[in-house]
Amino acid sequence: MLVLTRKPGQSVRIGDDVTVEVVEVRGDQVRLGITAPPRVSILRREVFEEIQQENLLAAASSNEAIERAANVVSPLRRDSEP
Amino acid sequence: MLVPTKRFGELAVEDSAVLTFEEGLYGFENCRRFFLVDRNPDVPLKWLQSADDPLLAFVVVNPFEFFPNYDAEVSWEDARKVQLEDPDQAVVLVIISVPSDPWAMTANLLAPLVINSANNLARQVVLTGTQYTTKHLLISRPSGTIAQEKQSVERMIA
Repeated sequence: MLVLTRKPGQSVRIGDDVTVEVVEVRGDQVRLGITAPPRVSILRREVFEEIQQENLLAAASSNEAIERAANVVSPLRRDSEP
Repeated sequence: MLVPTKRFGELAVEDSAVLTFEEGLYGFENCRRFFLVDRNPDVPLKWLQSADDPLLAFVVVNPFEFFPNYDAEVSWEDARKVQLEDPDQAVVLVIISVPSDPWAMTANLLAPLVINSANNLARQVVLTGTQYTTKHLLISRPSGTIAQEKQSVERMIA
């Protein structure tokens, strides 16, 4: 990881298209301004990791559990049909 | 084409049924080709099976069957990435996690799958700026005696 020290108002250019600016520092929080083309996705790291984790968990659902789930959920659909 | 799968054995899949996730899924960035398997039309749970990895499959549902008010607002950029021009061509599915207790199964409403049915391009998108999470319960456990079970089973509405 490249670690740089910046003051508010200073920024870092990443590649050709991405700029990260330190907008404000208040206490232990840093406000970052990110300029990037729309095609570059920008996510808080923890959101990205949470989704990744959930996908991994979902992919590991066992067949037995899914069988049980199918049995539980099917009667609900029949009840809601007109 | 014939696709080997662990859960369903070898399946015959039309090329036109193959969905292309150009960026894969989060955590599965190299798995780009999937197709839907609908074993039982009576069951709202469907399968999204990888055409690249026989072991990889996800349980998916049409989120609107369980969350009628689900507001899956797809960003311009996400729509552009699947070349979506007509919103009516978009199919939204969400991935379900099924733990050992089926009543505890959850839907990932934060990161739905958006499929462009016109060209079969698909993408897992992230609905930032919403209250959605990766874990929404699909159903409520019935309470009370068996006689009451049918009436008291409800759907959670997001």
